[in-house]
Amino acid sequence: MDSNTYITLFIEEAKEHIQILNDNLLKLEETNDNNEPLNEIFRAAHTLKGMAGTLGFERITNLAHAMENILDEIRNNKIEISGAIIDILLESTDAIEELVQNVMEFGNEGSKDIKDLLFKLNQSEDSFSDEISGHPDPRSLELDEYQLNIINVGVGQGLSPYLVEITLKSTCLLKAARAYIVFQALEEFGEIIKTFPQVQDIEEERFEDTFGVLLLTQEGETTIRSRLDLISELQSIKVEKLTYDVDRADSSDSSDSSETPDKKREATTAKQYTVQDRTRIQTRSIRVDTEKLDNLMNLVSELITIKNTLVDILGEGMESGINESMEYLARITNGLHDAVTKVRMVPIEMVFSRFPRVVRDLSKNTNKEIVLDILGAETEIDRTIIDEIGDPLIHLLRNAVDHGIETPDERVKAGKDPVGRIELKAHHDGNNVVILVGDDGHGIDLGNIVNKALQKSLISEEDVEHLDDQDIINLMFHPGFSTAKSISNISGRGVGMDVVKTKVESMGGSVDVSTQEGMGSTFTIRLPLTLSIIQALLVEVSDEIYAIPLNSIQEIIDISESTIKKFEDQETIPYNGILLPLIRLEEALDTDTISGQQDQNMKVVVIRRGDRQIALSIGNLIGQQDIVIKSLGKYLSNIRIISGATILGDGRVALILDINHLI
Amino acid sequence: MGSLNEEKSRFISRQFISFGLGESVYGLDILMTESIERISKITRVPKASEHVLGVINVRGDIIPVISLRSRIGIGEEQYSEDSRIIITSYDGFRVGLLVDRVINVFTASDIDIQSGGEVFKSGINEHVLGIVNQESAHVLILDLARVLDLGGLS
Repeated sequence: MDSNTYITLFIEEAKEHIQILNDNLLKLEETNDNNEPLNEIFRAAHTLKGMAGTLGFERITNLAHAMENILDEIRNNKIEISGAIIDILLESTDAIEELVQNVMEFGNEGSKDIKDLLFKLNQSEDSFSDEISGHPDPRSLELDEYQLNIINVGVGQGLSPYLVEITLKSTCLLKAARAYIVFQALEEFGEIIKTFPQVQDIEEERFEDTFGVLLLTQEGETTIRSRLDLISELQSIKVEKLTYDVDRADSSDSSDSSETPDKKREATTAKQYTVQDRTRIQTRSIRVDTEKLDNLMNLVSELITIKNTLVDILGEGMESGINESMEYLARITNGLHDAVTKVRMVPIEMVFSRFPRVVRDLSKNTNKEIVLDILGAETEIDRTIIDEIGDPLIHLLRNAVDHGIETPDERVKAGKDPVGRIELKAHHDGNNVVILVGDDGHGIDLGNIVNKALQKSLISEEDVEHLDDQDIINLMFHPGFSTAKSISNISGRGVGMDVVKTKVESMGGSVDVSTQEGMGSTFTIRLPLTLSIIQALLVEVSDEIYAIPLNSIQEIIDISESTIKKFEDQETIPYNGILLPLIRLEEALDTDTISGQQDQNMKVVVIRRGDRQIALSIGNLIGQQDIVIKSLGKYLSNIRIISGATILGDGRVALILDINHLI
Repeated sequence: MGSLNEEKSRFISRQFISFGLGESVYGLDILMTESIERISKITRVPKASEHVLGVINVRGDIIPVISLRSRIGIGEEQYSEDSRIIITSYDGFRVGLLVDRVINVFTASDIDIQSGGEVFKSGINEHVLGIVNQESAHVLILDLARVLDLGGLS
């Protein structure tokens, strides 16, 4: 049986719950007296505990359990919410996140030491709370009326409910059969009220190594243990006596309505065992492995390629009937492409939601007061980009907190609100997604950058005079550049802006910076909506065909050779009243120039990237096409001016130019 | 126990593809190869190393092609009816090698392969892993990692 399916589900759900923990802990911190976040946190911790317990992840279980204990104390007003408590709960959440990360990478929790944390958690908690959560009420195990009734009657006759948790040895082959033997043994002296997961799941081996049994018996714990000890292949046996208050059960029974508010709450708090949970949360969506989506996307890509081939073959002298069919086919493939692309789109909230926590921690560490405004979190973006964009964004946020926003004192002196503001904004712009990270700090100190660059010999004294503001800002993206005056644990570790830039560019995007002294700075990341199919302009450069992404092209113009002005080695052309640097593609790409005699007129593509414009001279225009981006592979990964390749209708390969590295 | 296993492994036979390159016959472990392709249109890649002829389309995948002649220093690539591109796959790298002709597939035990270091002076024929005698001809076993220059790359 594929236990991996469960691990994957566990990871996915655990991530969601960790997010809930983070979000609501922050809410709790802001508004001290609020039951809603507290309940959310409790639920999340409880579910995490249950899921991790089922899969045998002890560390996560223990941490979640300890968190739950504290939360229970808070709920019962035995502990007051304080900054210290929130801190330790956040710390525990981080630890759980790390453990889940381990599960994701290695399939197990790893060996992280959580003793200190557990100790701290236990200290924060009142000593007698053990009794409350140590012995869960059987009703928290999601029993139905009938089962509760049996227990109720049983307890009246002097029987006791036990929760028996069995972990099979991982080497056990026939887990279902072994579980069956356990059931048989237990039924010798008791009645099985319920199993976790349900019997059917156990029979079909839909459980990890651990399963649970709710047993009603008059025997004690030792009898149960000694009987189970006789069964081989059991790794561990946990027997827990459940407290059961007959009166309370009676009263809730007698109230007769199955939807009393009390019950309702219990039904939602108690998500102990996850197998059946899922059926209850009825949403109209399903989870799909991204690999399956990638596969679908590849097939659509192939379809587009073959459509292009057909258009090429039939291109000349097409009959009107075929022509219509071709247009129809084109519409369908485009529709299919759009649909598949949309399936792959997820709201950028998936990344953004981590950031309030990040900024909170950072501002605490730096003793700054900062508010993070998030706008446009619903903006949708390709799943692959979501996975990649998190780190660059965190880096920019760190940068904003560390270098951008001033300390409250400095801000007051500068006549600003002592509370700094960081804005994180996302929106669509044509075929791009634009993400802005802005702060209202003191802006980027250009002089400081120049000094630093001189110190690190990135530039020479002579260079300084020629640098405009944009050039200076670009120095920040130089590998190894870091302006932090002292090395803090936030930024300034040498891995700097160049990593952000490289990462974004590897996804076909760009980073731009604008800054104003005293007012703050804004980083603008521009990314393609989807990675695998783009619109491109195909151009011919001395018999070779290249593709230029359409989203970077501003205009195509005809110019006459005579308008080209040469300043030292740089050729320029006039464009809308300014001079643009001209790059001859045949030179940039080292193609064989056909002849010395050049045309009077030449075609030029004006490329825009952020504030910068540049003119590329090309040979011939071929036309606009949807192209499927393919990687050049590992072997040629160091060729920077080419970002990939595509297959043309006739099967030939055309290279895609990387505009970022031509400029 | 260990020495017995070692002893055994020396007798494990492996399959090689043999191909001609100028005067010599070379062999490449068949597990490192994916397919053999006829020459199709090669797209030049600017700024690539001089040995890289360009990229080709192999059933929808983009594969770089190296001129093996140029890479091991026996002159310019030559195209003929017999020229073939051997698509290799090694450590995540997929690269095509342009060779003069493909000959056949043969089997050899490790024990039959004499190490290249024993035959050549150091610095000469470093891309050769070993030599094996096959049907009265000497076949040079190619060191693919060296040809792809992985030592210097990562």
